[in-house]
Amino acid sequence: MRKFFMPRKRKRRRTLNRSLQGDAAMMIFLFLMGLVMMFPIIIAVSNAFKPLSELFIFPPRFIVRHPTLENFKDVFRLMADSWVPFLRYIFNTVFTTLAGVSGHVIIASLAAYAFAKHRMPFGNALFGLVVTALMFSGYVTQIPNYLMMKNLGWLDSYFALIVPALASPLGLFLMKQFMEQLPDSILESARMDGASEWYIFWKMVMPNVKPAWLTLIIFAFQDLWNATGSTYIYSEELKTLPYALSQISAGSISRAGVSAAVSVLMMLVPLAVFIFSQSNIIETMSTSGIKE
Amino acid sequence: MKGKKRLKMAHKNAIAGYLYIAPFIIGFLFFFLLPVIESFRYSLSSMKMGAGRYELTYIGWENFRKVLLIDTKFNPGLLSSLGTMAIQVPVIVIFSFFVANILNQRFRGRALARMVFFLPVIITSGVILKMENADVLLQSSYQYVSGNAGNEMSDFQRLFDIGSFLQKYLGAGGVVSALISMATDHIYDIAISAGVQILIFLAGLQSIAPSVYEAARIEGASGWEVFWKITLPMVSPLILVNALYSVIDSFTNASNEMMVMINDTMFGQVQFGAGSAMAWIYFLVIAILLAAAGGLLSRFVFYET
Repeated sequence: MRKFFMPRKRKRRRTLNRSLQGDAAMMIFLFLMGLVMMFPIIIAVSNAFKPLSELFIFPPRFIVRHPTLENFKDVFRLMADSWVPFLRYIFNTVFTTLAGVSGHVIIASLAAYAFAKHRMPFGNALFGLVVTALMFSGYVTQIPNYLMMKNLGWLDSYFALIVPALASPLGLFLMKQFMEQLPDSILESARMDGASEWYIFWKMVMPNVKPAWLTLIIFAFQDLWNATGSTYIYSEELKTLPYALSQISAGSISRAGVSAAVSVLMMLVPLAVFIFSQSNIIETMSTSGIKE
Repeated sequence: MKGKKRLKMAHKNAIAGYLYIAPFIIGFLFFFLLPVIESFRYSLSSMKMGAGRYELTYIGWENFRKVLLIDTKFNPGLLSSLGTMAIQVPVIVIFSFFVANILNQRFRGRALARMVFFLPVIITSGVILKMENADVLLQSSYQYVSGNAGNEMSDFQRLFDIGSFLQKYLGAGGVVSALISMATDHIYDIAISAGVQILIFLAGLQSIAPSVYEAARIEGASGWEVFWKITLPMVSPLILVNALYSVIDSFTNASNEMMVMINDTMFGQVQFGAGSAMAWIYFLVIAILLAAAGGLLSRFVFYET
Protein backbone atom coordinates (compact mmCIF):
# COMPACT_ATOMS: atom_id res chain seq x y z
CA MET A 1 0.00 0.00 0.00
CA ARG A 2 2.67 2.41 1.01
CA LYS A 3 4.77 1.59 -2.00
CA PHE A 4 1.83 2.19 -4.23
CA PHE A 5 1.55 5.78 -3.10
CA MET A 6 5.22 6.60 -3.30
CA PRO A 7 5.49 7.68 -6.95
CA ARG A 8 2.60 10.07 -6.53
CA LYS A 9 4.18 11.68 -3.58
CA ARG A 10 7.42 12.19 -5.46
CA LYS A 11 5.57 13.83 -8.29
CA ARG A 12 3.94 16.21 -5.89
CA ARG A 13 7.32 17.25 -4.63
CA ARG A 14 8.54 18.12 -8.05
CA THR A 15 5.55 20.15 -9.11
CA LEU A 16 4.40 22.12 -6.12
CA ASN A 17 7.05 22.14 -3.48
CA ARG A 18 9.67 24.76 -3.18
CA SER A 19 13.22 24.50 -4.31
CA LEU A 20 16.10 24.44 -1.86
CA GLN A 21 17.27 27.90 -2.92
CA GLY A 22 13.77 29.22 -2.45
CA ASP A 23 13.65 27.74 1.02
CA ALA A 24 16.97 29.26 1.92
CA ALA A 25 15.97 32.70 0.61
CA MET A 26 12.74 32.49 2.55
CA MET A 27 14.47 31.56 5.78
CA ILE A 28 17.04 34.33 5.37
CA PHE A 29 14.31 36.87 4.73
CA LEU A 30 12.33 35.67 7.74
CA PHE A 31 15.41 35.70 9.92
CA LEU A 32 16.38 39.25 8.94
CA MET A 33 12.84 40.57 9.33
CA GLY A 34 12.49 38.69 12.57
CA LEU A 35 15.63 40.32 13.86
CA VAL A 36 14.24 43.74 13.03
CA MET A 37 10.96 42.88 14.74
CA MET A 38 12.64 41.43 17.80
CA PHE A 39 14.89 44.42 18.34
CA PRO A 40 12.54 46.55 20.46
CA ILE A 41 11.40 43.53 22.46
CA ILE A 42 14.96 42.56 23.21
CA ILE A 43 15.70 46.10 24.33
CA ALA A 44 12.59 46.21 26.51
CA VAL A 45 13.22 42.84 28.12
CA SER A 46 16.87 43.49 28.59
CA ASN A 47 16.17 46.89 30.14
CA ALA A 48 13.72 45.34 32.53
CA PHE A 49 16.46 43.14 33.96
CA LYS A 50 19.12 45.83 34.12
CA PRO A 51 20.22 47.08 37.51
CA LEU A 52 20.22 50.82 37.98
CA SER A 53 23.94 51.04 37.40
CA GLU A 54 23.57 49.56 33.93
CA LEU A 55 20.44 51.46 32.88
CA PHE A 56 22.25 54.76 32.79
CA ILE A 57 25.56 53.51 31.57
CA PHE A 58 27.18 55.35 28.69
CA PRO A 59 27.48 54.23 25.91
CA PRO A 60 24.22 52.27 26.44
CA ARG A 61 24.53 48.52 26.42
CA PHE A 62 22.20 46.50 24.27
CA ILE A 63 22.12 43.29 26.29
CA VAL A 64 22.03 43.21 30.06
CA ARG A 65 25.28 42.10 31.70
CA HIS A 66 24.24 41.43 35.29
CA PRO A 67 20.54 40.61 35.19
CA THR A 68 18.58 41.42 38.31
CA LEU A 69 14.97 41.11 39.41
CA GLU A 70 15.19 44.38 41.31
CA ASN A 71 12.97 46.25 38.83
CA PHE A 72 10.19 43.69 39.12
CA LYS A 73 10.47 43.74 42.90
CA ASP A 74 10.12 47.51 42.74
CA VAL A 75 6.98 47.16 40.68
CA PHE A 76 5.41 44.82 43.20
CA ARG A 77 6.48 46.99 46.09
CA LEU A 78 4.86 50.01 44.46
CA MET A 79 1.78 47.91 43.79
CA ALA A 80 1.51 46.96 47.43
CA ASP A 81 1.72 50.63 48.37
CA SER A 82 -1.23 51.59 46.24
CA TRP A 83 -4.22 53.17 47.87
CA VAL A 84 -6.76 50.76 46.36
CA PRO A 85 -5.85 47.06 46.59
CA PHE A 86 -3.98 46.32 43.41
CA LEU A 87 -6.12 43.30 42.61
CA ARG A 88 -8.96 45.71 42.03
CA TYR A 89 -7.18 47.28 39.03
CA ILE A 90 -6.45 43.84 37.65
CA PHE A 91 -10.07 42.82 38.12
CA ASN A 92 -11.30 45.99 36.40
CA THR A 93 -9.19 45.41 33.33
CA VAL A 94 -9.85 41.68 33.14
CA PHE A 95 -13.58 42.21 33.56
CA THR A 96 -13.95 45.00 31.00
CA THR A 97 -11.70 43.16 28.56
CA LEU A 98 -13.59 39.88 28.80
CA ALA A 99 -17.01 41.53 28.58
CA GLY A 100 -15.95 43.82 25.76
CA VAL A 101 -14.19 41.18 23.68
CA SER A 102 -16.89 38.53 23.91
CA GLY A 103 -19.66 41.08 23.38
CA HIS A 104 -17.91 42.61 20.42
CA VAL A 105 -17.21 39.30 18.72
CA ILE A 106 -20.82 38.15 19.11
CA ILE A 107 -22.48 41.43 18.15
CA ALA A 108 -20.17 42.10 15.21
CA SER A 109 -20.54 38.53 13.94
CA LEU A 110 -24.32 38.63 14.13
CA ALA A 111 -24.44 41.90 12.24
CA ALA A 112 -21.85 40.69 9.74
CA TYR A 113 -23.88 37.54 9.11
CA ALA A 114 -26.95 39.59 8.37
CA PHE A 115 -25.07 41.99 6.11
CA ALA A 116 -23.38 39.15 4.26
CA LYS A 117 -26.19 36.65 3.89
CA HIS A 118 -29.53 38.39 4.28
CA ARG A 119 -31.14 40.52 1.64
CA MET A 120 -32.69 43.52 3.28
CA PRO A 121 -33.78 46.91 2.05
CA PHE A 122 -31.11 49.55 2.80
CA GLY A 123 -28.69 46.82 3.90
CA ASN A 124 -25.89 47.99 1.67
CA ALA A 125 -26.47 51.64 2.49
CA LEU A 126 -26.28 50.89 6.21
CA PHE A 127 -23.09 48.93 5.74
CA GLY A 128 -21.57 51.74 3.70
CA LEU A 129 -22.40 54.16 6.49
CA VAL A 130 -20.67 51.97 9.07
CA VAL A 131 -17.52 51.61 6.99
CA THR A 132 -17.39 55.33 6.29
CA ALA A 133 -17.56 56.05 9.98
CA LEU A 134 -14.35 54.08 10.44
CA MET A 135 -12.49 56.94 8.84
CA PHE A 136 -13.62 59.68 11.13
CA SER A 137 -10.91 61.10 13.33
CA GLY A 138 -11.23 60.16 16.96
CA TYR A 139 -10.26 63.54 18.38
CA VAL A 140 -13.26 65.32 16.99
CA THR A 141 -15.77 62.96 18.49
CA GLN A 142 -14.16 63.09 21.92
CA ILE A 143 -16.31 65.91 23.20
CA PRO A 144 -19.61 64.67 21.73
CA ASN A 145 -18.76 61.20 23.01
CA TYR A 146 -18.17 62.54 26.48
CA LEU A 147 -21.48 64.38 26.43
CA MET A 148 -23.18 61.23 25.22
CA MET A 149 -21.78 59.26 28.14
CA LYS A 150 -22.84 61.99 30.49
CA ASN A 151 -26.40 62.04 29.17
CA LEU A 152 -26.64 58.28 29.41
CA GLY A 153 -25.36 58.47 32.97
CA TRP A 154 -22.52 56.10 32.16
CA LEU A 155 -19.67 58.31 33.24
CA ASP A 156 -17.56 56.65 35.87
CA SER A 157 -18.91 53.17 35.26
CA TYR A 158 -17.80 50.02 33.46
CA PHE A 159 -20.31 50.79 30.71
CA ALA A 160 -18.20 53.69 29.50
CA LEU A 161 -15.35 51.29 28.78
CA ILE A 162 -17.28 48.27 27.52
CA VAL A 163 -20.17 49.57 25.42
CA PRO A 164 -18.26 51.71 22.88
CA ALA A 165 -15.96 48.75 22.25
CA LEU A 166 -18.92 46.55 21.32
CA ALA A 167 -19.79 48.44 18.17
CA SER A 168 -16.36 48.95 16.65
CA PRO A 169 -16.80 48.94 12.85
CA LEU A 170 -13.53 47.19 11.95
CA GLY A 171 -14.69 43.89 13.43
CA LEU A 172 -17.91 44.05 11.46
CA PHE A 173 -16.06 44.70 8.22
CA LEU A 174 -13.61 41.85 8.80
CA MET A 175 -16.30 39.34 9.73
CA LYS A 176 -18.47 40.31 6.78
CA GLN A 177 -15.68 39.76 4.29
CA PHE A 178 -15.11 36.26 5.67
CA MET A 179 -18.77 35.30 5.85
CA GLU A 180 -19.44 36.46 2.32
CA GLN A 181 -17.19 33.66 1.14
CA LEU A 182 -19.36 30.94 2.62
CA PRO A 183 -21.37 29.34 -0.15
CA ASP A 184 -25.10 30.05 0.06
CA SER A 185 -25.79 26.43 -0.81
CA ILE A 186 -24.81 25.08 2.63
CA LEU A 187 -27.01 27.59 4.40
CA GLU A 188 -29.78 26.79 1.98
CA SER A 189 -29.55 23.06 2.55
CA ALA A 190 -29.50 23.58 6.31
CA ARG A 191 -32.68 25.65 6.01
CA MET A 192 -34.23 22.91 3.92
CA ASP A 193 -33.46 20.45 6.66
CA GLY A 194 -35.33 22.65 9.08
CA ALA A 195 -32.45 24.30 10.91
CA SER A 196 -33.40 27.56 12.60
CA GLU A 197 -31.57 30.77 11.74
CA TRP A 198 -30.07 30.76 15.18
CA TYR A 199 -28.80 27.21 14.75
CA ILE A 200 -27.35 28.00 11.34
CA PHE A 201 -25.50 30.99 12.75
CA TRP A 202 -23.96 29.14 15.68
CA LYS A 203 -23.41 25.71 14.19
CA MET A 204 -22.65 26.43 10.56
CA VAL A 205 -21.47 30.00 10.06
CA MET A 206 -19.38 30.59 13.16
CA PRO A 207 -17.35 27.35 13.05
CA ASN A 208 -16.51 28.03 9.41
CA VAL A 209 -15.17 31.49 10.03
CA LYS A 210 -13.23 30.52 13.13
CA PRO A 211 -9.93 31.99 11.84
CA ALA A 212 -11.73 35.30 11.42
CA TRP A 213 -13.14 35.58 14.92
CA LEU A 214 -10.04 34.20 16.57
CA THR A 215 -8.16 36.99 14.81
CA LEU A 216 -10.80 39.48 15.86
CA ILE A 217 -10.38 38.37 19.48
CA ILE A 218 -6.72 39.32 19.29
CA PHE A 219 -7.49 42.81 17.97
CA ALA A 220 -10.31 43.51 20.37
CA PHE A 221 -8.28 42.19 23.29
CA GLN A 222 -5.39 44.39 22.33
CA ASP A 223 -7.55 47.52 22.39
CA LEU A 224 -9.37 46.82 25.63
CA TRP A 225 -6.38 45.49 27.52
CA ASN A 226 -4.55 48.74 26.93
CA ALA A 227 -7.50 51.02 27.60
CA THR A 228 -6.76 53.55 30.30
CA GLY A 229 -10.28 54.95 30.23
CA SER A 230 -8.97 58.10 31.87
CA THR A 231 -11.50 60.28 30.05
CA TYR A 232 -14.55 58.61 31.51
CA ILE A 233 -13.46 57.05 34.80
CA TYR A 234 -12.67 59.06 37.91
CA SER A 235 -13.19 56.74 40.85
CA GLU A 236 -9.95 55.14 41.87
CA GLU A 237 -11.61 51.76 42.42
CA LEU A 238 -12.87 51.66 38.83
CA LYS A 239 -9.59 52.54 37.17
CA THR A 240 -7.86 50.06 34.94
CA LEU A 241 -4.56 48.24 35.15
CA PRO A 242 -2.80 50.18 32.37
CA TYR A 243 -3.76 53.39 34.12
CA ALA A 244 -2.43 52.19 37.46
CA LEU A 245 0.76 50.87 35.90
CA SER A 246 1.41 54.05 33.99
CA GLN A 247 1.00 55.92 37.26
CA ILE A 248 3.57 53.63 38.83
CA SER A 249 6.07 54.06 36.06
CA ALA A 250 5.53 57.78 35.69
CA GLY A 251 8.12 59.84 37.47
CA SER A 252 10.77 60.67 34.92
CA ILE A 253 14.10 58.95 34.69
CA SER A 254 14.24 57.69 38.27
CA ARG A 255 11.55 55.14 37.44
CA ALA A 256 13.11 54.03 34.15
CA GLY A 257 13.77 50.52 35.42
CA VAL A 258 10.27 50.19 36.83
CA SER A 259 8.86 51.46 33.56
CA ALA A 260 10.77 48.83 31.60
CA ALA A 261 9.58 46.07 33.94
CA VAL A 262 6.00 47.27 33.67
CA SER A 263 6.08 47.23 29.86
CA VAL A 264 7.32 43.65 29.90
CA LEU A 265 4.58 42.63 32.35
CA MET A 266 1.89 44.30 30.23
CA MET A 267 3.10 42.54 27.09
CA LEU A 268 2.82 39.06 28.55
CA VAL A 269 -0.95 38.70 28.53
CA PRO A 270 -1.63 39.86 24.93
CA LEU A 271 1.20 37.60 23.87
CA ALA A 272 -0.44 34.64 25.61
CA VAL A 273 -3.78 35.45 23.96
CA PHE A 274 -2.06 35.66 20.61
CA ILE A 275 -0.36 32.30 21.02
CA PHE A 276 -3.55 30.66 22.22
CA SER A 277 -5.61 32.01 19.35
CA GLN A 278 -3.03 31.23 16.67
CA SER A 279 -2.53 27.66 17.79
CA ASN A 280 -6.29 27.17 17.68
CA ILE A 281 -6.55 28.52 14.16
CA ILE A 282 -4.01 26.04 12.90
CA GLU A 283 -5.68 23.09 14.60
CA THR A 284 -9.17 23.77 13.35
CA MET A 285 -8.35 24.64 9.80
CA SER A 286 -6.37 21.54 9.05
CA THR A 287 -9.43 19.44 9.78
CA SER A 288 -12.35 21.48 8.47
CA GLY A 289 -12.79 23.85 5.57
CA ILE A 290 -16.18 23.93 3.98
CA LYS A 291 -15.23 26.62 1.48
CA GLU A 292 -14.94 25.10 -1.93
CA MET B 1 -49.67 31.51 -4.77
CA LYS B 2 -46.08 30.69 -5.36
CA GLY B 3 -45.16 34.36 -5.66
CA LYS B 4 -46.90 35.20 -2.42
CA LYS B 5 -45.05 32.56 -0.50
CA ARG B 6 -41.71 33.74 -1.87
CA LEU B 7 -42.44 37.27 -0.80
CA LYS B 8 -43.16 36.03 2.67
CA MET B 9 -39.84 34.21 2.76
CA ALA B 10 -38.02 37.34 1.66
CA HIS B 11 -39.86 39.33 4.31
CA LYS B 12 -38.93 36.90 7.00
CA ASN B 13 -35.37 36.92 5.83
CA ALA B 14 -35.19 40.71 5.95
CA ILE B 15 -36.73 40.89 9.41
CA ALA B 16 -34.30 38.32 10.77
CA GLY B 17 -31.51 40.32 9.17
CA TYR B 18 -32.59 43.54 10.85
CA LEU B 19 -32.81 41.74 14.17
CA TYR B 20 -29.24 40.52 13.79
CA ILE B 21 -27.83 43.92 13.00
CA ALA B 22 -29.93 45.78 15.56
CA PRO B 23 -27.53 45.50 18.52
CA PHE B 24 -24.62 46.62 16.42
CA ILE B 25 -26.44 49.48 14.76
CA ILE B 26 -27.81 50.81 18.03
CA GLY B 27 -24.32 50.91 19.54
CA PHE B 28 -22.94 52.39 16.37
CA LEU B 29 -25.61 55.07 16.32
CA PHE B 30 -24.91 56.25 19.84
CA PHE B 31 -21.13 56.05 19.89
CA PHE B 32 -20.16 56.81 16.32
CA LEU B 33 -22.87 58.41 14.25
CA LEU B 34 -24.39 60.85 16.72
CA PRO B 35 -21.00 62.18 17.88
CA VAL B 36 -19.94 62.60 14.26
CA ILE B 37 -23.10 64.55 13.45
CA GLU B 38 -22.63 66.58 16.60
CA SER B 39 -19.12 67.48 15.49
CA PHE B 40 -20.51 68.75 12.18
CA ARG B 41 -22.66 71.15 14.19
CA TYR B 42 -19.52 72.33 15.99
CA SER B 43 -17.76 72.92 12.70
CA LEU B 44 -20.45 75.40 11.71
CA SER B 45 -20.29 77.24 15.00
CA SER B 46 -17.96 79.14 17.17
CA MET B 47 -17.72 77.54 20.56
CA LYS B 48 -17.18 79.27 23.83
CA MET B 49 -16.42 77.35 26.98
CA GLY B 50 -17.99 78.61 30.16
CA ALA B 51 -18.07 77.29 33.69
CA GLY B 52 -19.30 73.73 33.33
CA ARG B 53 -21.01 74.42 30.02
CA TYR B 54 -20.39 75.62 26.50
CA GLU B 55 -22.08 78.00 24.11
CA LEU B 56 -22.49 77.48 20.40
CA THR B 57 -23.06 80.37 18.04
CA TYR B 58 -23.92 79.56 14.47
CA ILE B 59 -21.47 81.18 12.05
CA GLY B 60 -22.10 79.24 8.84
CA TRP B 61 -19.16 78.13 6.73
CA GLU B 62 -16.77 80.60 8.32
CA ASN B 63 -14.63 77.88 9.92
CA PHE B 64 -14.25 76.04 6.63
CA ARG B 65 -13.33 79.25 4.83
CA LYS B 66 -10.69 80.04 7.44
CA VAL B 67 -9.15 76.59 7.34
CA LEU B 68 -9.05 76.29 3.57
CA LEU B 69 -8.25 79.83 2.49
CA ILE B 70 -6.52 81.55 5.39
CA ASP B 71 -4.67 78.86 7.35
CA THR B 72 -1.26 78.49 5.70
CA LYS B 73 -0.47 75.13 7.23
CA PHE B 74 -3.59 73.14 6.46
CA ASN B 75 -3.42 72.58 2.72
CA PRO B 76 0.29 71.63 2.51
CA GLY B 77 -0.19 69.37 5.53
CA LEU B 78 -3.12 67.65 3.90
CA LEU B 79 -1.21 67.13 0.65
CA SER B 80 1.85 65.76 2.37
CA SER B 81 -0.11 63.27 4.44
CA LEU B 82 -1.93 62.16 1.29
CA GLY B 83 1.42 61.66 -0.44
CA THR B 84 2.78 59.58 2.40
CA MET B 85 -0.30 57.43 2.34
CA ALA B 86 -0.18 56.91 -1.42
CA ILE B 87 3.26 55.36 -1.09
CA GLN B 88 2.84 53.56 2.20
CA VAL B 89 -0.49 51.79 1.78
CA PRO B 90 0.32 49.73 -1.35
CA VAL B 91 3.72 48.82 0.06
CA ILE B 92 2.21 47.75 3.36
CA VAL B 93 -0.48 45.64 1.69
CA ILE B 94 1.99 43.91 -0.62
CA PHE B 95 4.52 43.39 2.14
CA SER B 96 1.96 41.93 4.52
CA PHE B 97 0.58 39.63 1.85
CA PHE B 98 4.09 38.46 1.06
CA VAL B 99 4.93 37.80 4.69
CA ALA B 100 1.58 36.11 5.35
CA ASN B 101 2.24 33.77 2.46
CA ILE B 102 5.62 32.82 3.84
CA LEU B 103 4.24 32.40 7.34
CA ASN B 104 1.54 30.15 5.98
CA GLN B 105 4.08 27.70 4.58
CA ARG B 106 5.06 24.69 6.53
CA PHE B 107 8.45 25.01 8.15
CA ARG B 108 10.06 24.46 11.49
CA GLY B 109 9.52 27.30 13.95
CA ARG B 110 6.49 28.65 12.16
CA ALA B 111 4.62 29.44 15.36
CA LEU B 112 7.60 31.38 16.64
CA ALA B 113 7.97 33.28 13.37
CA ARG B 114 4.31 34.27 13.48
CA MET B 115 4.68 35.53 16.98
CA VAL B 116 7.72 37.56 16.09
CA PHE B 117 5.86 39.30 13.28
CA PHE B 118 2.98 40.15 15.53
CA LEU B 119 5.17 41.61 18.27
CA PRO B 120 5.21 45.18 16.90
CA VAL B 121 1.43 45.35 17.21
CA ILE B 122 1.69 44.50 20.87
CA ILE B 123 4.48 46.96 21.50
CA THR B 124 3.11 49.90 19.59
CA SER B 125 -0.31 49.77 21.16
CA GLY B 126 -1.03 52.64 23.44
CA VAL B 127 0.20 52.37 26.94
CA ILE B 128 3.36 50.46 26.27
CA LEU B 129 4.54 53.09 23.86
CA LYS B 130 3.85 55.71 26.47
CA MET B 131 5.84 53.78 29.00
CA GLU B 132 8.81 53.61 26.68
CA ASN B 133 8.84 57.33 27.17
CA ALA B 134 11.48 57.15 29.82
CA ASP B 135 13.70 55.16 27.50
CA VAL B 136 13.26 57.74 24.78
CA LEU B 137 14.48 60.35 27.21
CA LEU B 138 17.52 58.24 27.93
CA GLN B 139 18.25 57.59 24.30
CA SER B 140 17.93 61.18 23.23
CA SER B 141 20.14 62.33 26.04
CA TYR B 142 22.79 59.86 24.92
CA GLN B 143 22.53 61.24 21.43
CA TYR B 144 22.84 64.74 22.73
CA VAL B 145 25.87 63.97 24.85
CA SER B 146 27.67 62.13 22.09
CA GLY B 147 27.00 65.05 19.74
CA ASN B 148 25.86 62.73 17.01
CA ALA B 149 23.86 65.28 15.03
CA GLY B 150 23.22 62.96 12.08
CA ASN B 151 20.93 60.64 14.01
CA GLU B 152 17.95 62.24 15.58
CA MET B 153 16.73 59.72 18.09
CA SER B 154 14.51 62.21 19.84
CA ASP B 155 11.40 61.02 18.08
CA PHE B 156 9.21 58.02 19.05
CA GLN B 157 9.46 56.64 15.57
CA ARG B 158 13.20 56.57 15.74
CA LEU B 159 13.28 54.79 19.05
CA PHE B 160 14.33 51.57 17.47
CA ASP B 161 16.49 52.99 14.72
CA ILE B 162 18.36 49.96 13.50
CA GLY B 163 20.54 51.91 11.11
CA SER B 164 22.29 53.99 13.66
CA PHE B 165 22.47 50.98 15.92
CA LEU B 166 24.39 49.06 13.27
CA GLN B 167 26.55 52.07 12.60
CA LYS B 168 27.37 52.46 16.23
CA TYR B 169 27.84 48.94 17.44
CA LEU B 170 29.07 47.08 14.42
CA GLY B 171 31.22 49.90 13.16
CA ALA B 172 29.99 49.74 9.60
CA GLY B 173 30.80 52.99 7.87
CA GLY B 174 30.34 55.03 4.71
CA VAL B 175 28.04 54.07 1.88
CA VAL B 176 27.21 50.65 3.26
CA SER B 177 25.94 51.97 6.55
CA ALA B 178 23.99 54.73 4.82
CA LEU B 179 22.28 52.15 2.63
CA ILE B 180 21.61 49.83 5.52
CA SER B 181 20.22 52.58 7.66
CA MET B 182 17.95 53.81 4.88
CA ALA B 183 16.62 50.36 4.07
CA THR B 184 16.12 49.28 7.65
CA ASP B 185 14.48 52.58 8.51
CA HIS B 186 11.76 52.12 5.97
CA ILE B 187 11.43 48.40 6.41
CA TYR B 188 10.84 48.99 10.04
CA ASP B 189 8.22 51.66 9.43
CA ILE B 190 6.42 49.35 7.09
CA ALA B 191 6.86 46.18 9.09
CA ILE B 192 5.73 47.78 12.30
CA SER B 193 2.48 48.92 10.74
CA ALA B 194 1.84 45.62 8.94
CA GLY B 195 1.21 43.32 11.91
CA VAL B 196 -2.57 43.48 11.82
CA GLN B 197 -2.65 43.12 8.04
CA ILE B 198 -0.40 40.07 8.17
CA LEU B 199 -2.72 38.47 10.67
CA ILE B 200 -5.81 39.20 8.57
CA PHE B 201 -4.16 37.73 5.50
CA LEU B 202 -3.06 34.69 7.49
CA ALA B 203 -6.60 34.07 8.63
CA GLY B 204 -7.71 34.34 5.02
CA LEU B 205 -5.05 31.96 3.77
CA GLN B 206 -5.94 29.47 6.45
CA SER B 207 -9.59 29.42 5.54
CA ILE B 208 -8.84 28.21 2.01
CA ALA B 209 -9.80 24.54 1.94
CA PRO B 210 -6.83 22.20 1.53
CA SER B 211 -8.95 20.23 -0.93
CA VAL B 212 -8.70 23.04 -3.49
CA TYR B 213 -4.93 22.85 -3.41
CA GLU B 214 -5.11 19.09 -3.49
CA ALA B 215 -7.20 19.19 -6.64
CA ALA B 216 -4.86 21.67 -8.30
CA ARG B 217 -1.89 19.52 -7.41
CA ILE B 218 -3.47 16.45 -8.92
CA GLU B 219 -4.22 18.39 -12.08
CA GLY B 220 -0.53 19.25 -12.22
CA ALA B 221 -0.61 22.98 -11.46
CA SER B 222 2.73 24.55 -10.62
CA GLY B 223 3.26 26.52 -7.42
CA TRP B 224 3.31 29.72 -9.47
CA GLU B 225 -0.03 28.91 -11.06
CA VAL B 226 -1.53 27.88 -7.75
CA PHE B 227 -0.54 31.21 -6.26
CA TRP B 228 -2.08 33.35 -9.00
CA LYS B 229 -5.11 31.20 -9.75
CA ILE B 230 -6.10 30.02 -6.27
CA THR B 231 -4.40 31.85 -3.44
CA LEU B 232 -4.75 35.38 -4.80
CA PRO B 233 -8.42 35.21 -5.84
CA MET B 234 -9.36 33.45 -2.60
CA VAL B 235 -7.88 36.16 -0.40
CA SER B 236 -8.80 39.06 -2.66
CA PRO B 237 -11.70 40.19 -0.45
CA LEU B 238 -9.14 40.64 2.31
CA ILE B 239 -6.93 42.80 0.13
CA LEU B 240 -9.82 45.24 0.22
CA VAL B 241 -10.07 44.94 4.01
CA ASN B 242 -6.37 45.47 4.44
CA ALA B 243 -6.15 48.40 2.05
CA LEU B 244 -8.97 50.06 3.92
CA TYR B 245 -7.45 49.23 7.27
CA SER B 246 -4.05 50.56 6.23
CA VAL B 247 -5.50 53.82 5.00
CA ILE B 248 -7.47 54.29 8.18
CA ASP B 249 -4.55 53.28 10.33
CA SER B 250 -2.24 55.74 8.63
CA PHE B 251 -4.83 58.53 8.63
CA THR B 252 -6.09 58.26 12.15
CA ASN B 253 -2.75 57.45 13.67
CA ALA B 254 -1.95 59.92 16.42
CA SER B 255 1.44 60.62 14.86
CA ASN B 256 -0.10 61.62 11.51
CA GLU B 257 0.67 65.22 10.61
CA MET B 258 -3.00 66.10 10.18
CA MET B 259 -4.05 64.43 13.41
CA VAL B 260 -1.41 66.38 15.27
CA MET B 261 -2.70 69.58 13.67
CA ILE B 262 -6.34 68.80 14.52
CA ASN B 263 -5.46 67.84 18.06
CA ASP B 264 -3.45 71.01 18.48
CA THR B 265 -6.21 73.21 17.09
CA MET B 266 -8.88 71.62 19.24
CA PHE B 267 -7.15 71.07 22.52
CA GLY B 268 -4.03 73.23 22.24
CA GLN B 269 -5.62 76.40 20.89
CA VAL B 270 -9.11 75.47 22.17
CA GLN B 271 -10.75 76.19 18.80
CA PHE B 272 -13.27 73.42 18.59
CA GLY B 273 -15.06 74.93 15.62
CA ALA B 274 -11.95 75.23 13.46
CA GLY B 275 -10.71 71.82 14.61
CA SER B 276 -14.01 70.18 13.70
CA ALA B 277 -13.97 71.89 10.31
CA MET B 278 -10.44 70.57 9.70
CA ALA B 279 -11.52 67.09 10.70
CA TRP B 280 -14.49 67.24 8.38
CA ILE B 281 -12.45 68.35 5.38
CA TYR B 282 -9.88 65.70 6.16
CA PHE B 283 -12.60 63.10 6.53
CA LEU B 284 -14.26 64.01 3.23
CA VAL B 285 -10.97 63.82 1.36
CA ILE B 286 -10.27 60.36 2.78
CA ALA B 287 -13.80 59.22 2.08
CA ILE B 288 -13.62 60.27 -1.58
CA LEU B 289 -10.19 58.66 -1.98
CA LEU B 290 -11.29 55.46 -0.34
CA ALA B 291 -14.45 55.25 -2.37
CA ALA B 292 -12.34 55.57 -5.52
CA ALA B 293 -9.76 53.05 -4.34
CA GLY B 294 -12.47 50.70 -3.07
CA GLY B 295 -14.32 50.86 -6.37
CA LEU B 296 -11.14 50.12 -8.27
CA LEU B 297 -10.10 47.28 -5.97
CA SER B 298 -13.49 45.62 -5.73
CA ARG B 299 -13.37 45.01 -9.49
CA PHE B 300 -10.59 42.56 -8.76
CA VAL B 301 -12.24 41.00 -5.76
CA PHE B 302 -13.43 37.51 -6.37
CA TYR B 303 -16.42 36.17 -4.48
CA GLU B 304 -17.15 32.51 -4.71
CA THR B 305 -20.89 32.62 -4.54
